[in-house]
Amino acid sequence: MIQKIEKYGIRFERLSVDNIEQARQWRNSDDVRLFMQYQKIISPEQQLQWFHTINNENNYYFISYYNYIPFGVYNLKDIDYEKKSAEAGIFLISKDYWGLDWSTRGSFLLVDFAFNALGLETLTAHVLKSNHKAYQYNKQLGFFENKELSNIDVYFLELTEKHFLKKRNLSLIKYMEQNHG
Amino acid sequence: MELNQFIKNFEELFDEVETNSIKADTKFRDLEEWSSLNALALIAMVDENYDKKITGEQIKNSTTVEDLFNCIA
Repeated sequence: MIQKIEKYGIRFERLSVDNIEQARQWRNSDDVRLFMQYQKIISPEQQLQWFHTINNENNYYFISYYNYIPFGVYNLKDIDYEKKSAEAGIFLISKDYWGLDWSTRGSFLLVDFAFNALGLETLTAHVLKSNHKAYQYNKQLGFFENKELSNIDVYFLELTEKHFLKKRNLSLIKYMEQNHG
Repeated sequence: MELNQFIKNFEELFDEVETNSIKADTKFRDLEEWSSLNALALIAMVDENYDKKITGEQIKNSTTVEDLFNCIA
């Protein structure tokens, strides 16, 4: 399993048993928890139990760093190598990191990893309909809504490589390859 | 360097913003479409059009479009 990736000025390090407690504290903070579908406080025991279910090649959970500063957790979960699909997810560990270029660099790295390193063809995402900013952001990345699978509370979004490699994203990729921030 | 041209360039970073709707005193974070992707596009635009650097931190510390302009003026 891949442990580290680095591109676009961002480093991803695979979540390990050594840092799941830190990740749990970030996930339980109001800056994160209140924007998630599952909003209850997660206990250390639940976190460890959960970690054992995702510590395999069908799930990649990464802590993201910019200039050695951790700022988010990015994931591909339920990877289906036959269907070439996975569910993507992101949370930024604090509102202080909202609106910085770092998180977009991270998103591009996650998508690059999914499509190029893992050979996936479709990414899905679930976004709360109340989280309008996240919906807008995903649309900008190229995600589109699958209305048949959305429900009253949650958008079900999909991203294909073709939709991701639109003109603006391509120019941003080119820029990030030359400028790591 | 001209503020009005900067505002035009800034406006072009958005897909759904009406033409000429962004002003110097527009609080860019209040724009529905504003996101970290626009922040990255802004950094690239400033670098490519003005040969200057604007950082994520400077964007974070700015409120209006004119504040952004002042970072590079």
